[in-house]
Amino acid sequence: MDAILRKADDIGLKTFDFFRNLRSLVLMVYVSFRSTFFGIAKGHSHVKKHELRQVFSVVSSQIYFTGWQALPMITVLALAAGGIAILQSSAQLSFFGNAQMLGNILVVVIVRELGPIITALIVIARSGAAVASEIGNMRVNREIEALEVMGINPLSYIVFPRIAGGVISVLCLAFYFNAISLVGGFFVSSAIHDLPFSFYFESLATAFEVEDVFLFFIKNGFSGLMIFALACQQGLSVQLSSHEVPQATTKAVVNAIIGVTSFNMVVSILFYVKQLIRLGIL
Amino acid sequence: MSANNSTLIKLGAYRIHSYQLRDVTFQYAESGTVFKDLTMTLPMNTIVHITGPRGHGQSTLLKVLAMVAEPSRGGVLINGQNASEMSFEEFLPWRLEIGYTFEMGGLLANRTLLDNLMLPHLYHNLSEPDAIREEIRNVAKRFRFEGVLDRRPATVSGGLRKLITILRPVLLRPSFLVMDDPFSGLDSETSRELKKMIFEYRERSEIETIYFTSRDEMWPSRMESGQLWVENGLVEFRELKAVG
Repeated sequence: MDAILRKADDIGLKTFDFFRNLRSLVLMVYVSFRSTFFGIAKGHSHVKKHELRQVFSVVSSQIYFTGWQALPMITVLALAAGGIAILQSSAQLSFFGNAQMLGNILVVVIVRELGPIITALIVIARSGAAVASEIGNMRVNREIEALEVMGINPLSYIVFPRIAGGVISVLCLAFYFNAISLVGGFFVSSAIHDLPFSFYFESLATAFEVEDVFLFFIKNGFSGLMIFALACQQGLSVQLSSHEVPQATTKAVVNAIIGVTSFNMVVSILFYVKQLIRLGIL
Repeated sequence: MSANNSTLIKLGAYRIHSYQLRDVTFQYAESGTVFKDLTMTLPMNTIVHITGPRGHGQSTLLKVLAMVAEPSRGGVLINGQNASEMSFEEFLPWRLEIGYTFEMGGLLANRTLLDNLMLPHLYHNLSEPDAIREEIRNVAKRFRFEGVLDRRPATVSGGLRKLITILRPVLLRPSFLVMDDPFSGLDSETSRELKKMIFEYRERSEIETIYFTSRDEMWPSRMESGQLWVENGLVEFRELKAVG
């Protein structure tokens, strides 16, 4: 009986911790946006545009680091993923005489599922970890404290640019991944498998739906938000010891992977339930 | 509105002329209570050396005065207003009038020394960029580090890093300057020049009040300071110098 109660206590505490962390995460994101755009000190309204200029210079650095510098890696993975998906699906579909379904399969596999997940995983590995350790080290070196002393709100100057730059980068990278996968992947696969160009593009064009655009923004936008909000939260949780930095980084990466994959799965399930309802199957 | 002989554009209404601690309790989670129900009015327009037996909370008091550390209980009244209850934005004009120099650390690692010194001026639009850049170059010449202004903190000596952490708030000319052991780690010539510069700003009434700690016992007399003795959670003013 004791063992069961202890387990129940454990689950209860973990649940409580989860919601407490979620609350602080949402609060951090909200306050960072609010203080960046609406936090104007008394008598300092003329200063806001200068603050925003400084903040947006950090946003552009973040986009350069997270978006631009990730392009080579994304290109390789997109070509590989796209090439394999096109080759396998076109070969199998031709075998079963369903070649016109190729576009539908690729939209489902690449645009709806692989694109968001692979992009998010690359960004977590490259930038999520880097942001968490960077902010952790800033805490240890008292840079965050120094910003506060200078009257610079760390939520505006550190957190907001990383989240905003991260979300923009993830959206651009996911779009780039999809484009390279579908276009580049075709040329990679055409070296092995003979697939008519016009047929391929017609099949893709008819497979795309307006809902894919919503799905793209929801999945990739939220992944970006989650990756960078978690990285900032973990980085800021470092107190004064450099030993905490790798622990915070690991936690940020693990939490982001769990968060992004769970969110993608839930959105996909909801999307397909909605499709089944539309088709009258459910 | 603008300070004498400087490029700064600050809000003169926020210069600090009275500072009170009211029922301030400060405790660390690990080491317990440092101050309990401390109430005091700080003498302003003077220089005060905070001292006492080591480990009795001198640096903690300094951080509370600089509003770097938040008291566990009680409030800080600046010019009669409760600063402890202000939001970050509400407190900003006061914040720019309180300079705090770190004992160590505090420089942005991914910025050059010049960027570190310019950041608060540009962020708050306190000075014209060209004017503050020129002023920083002149200060760098004075302290003989103009050749490394474009280098990052990790690539210069510890002494220079310390000097930059002190110069950054000093160049903002806060009316209330709080310095945590400013002269340790600096060579004697740099320390003398720094003291000279701070006194020049004081003569022009740009910096009015200075509270500092120092491990080097020579500096309190060189700074012509009064003494605030901190021991066992109690504070006592001694040897206060005349205003001005």
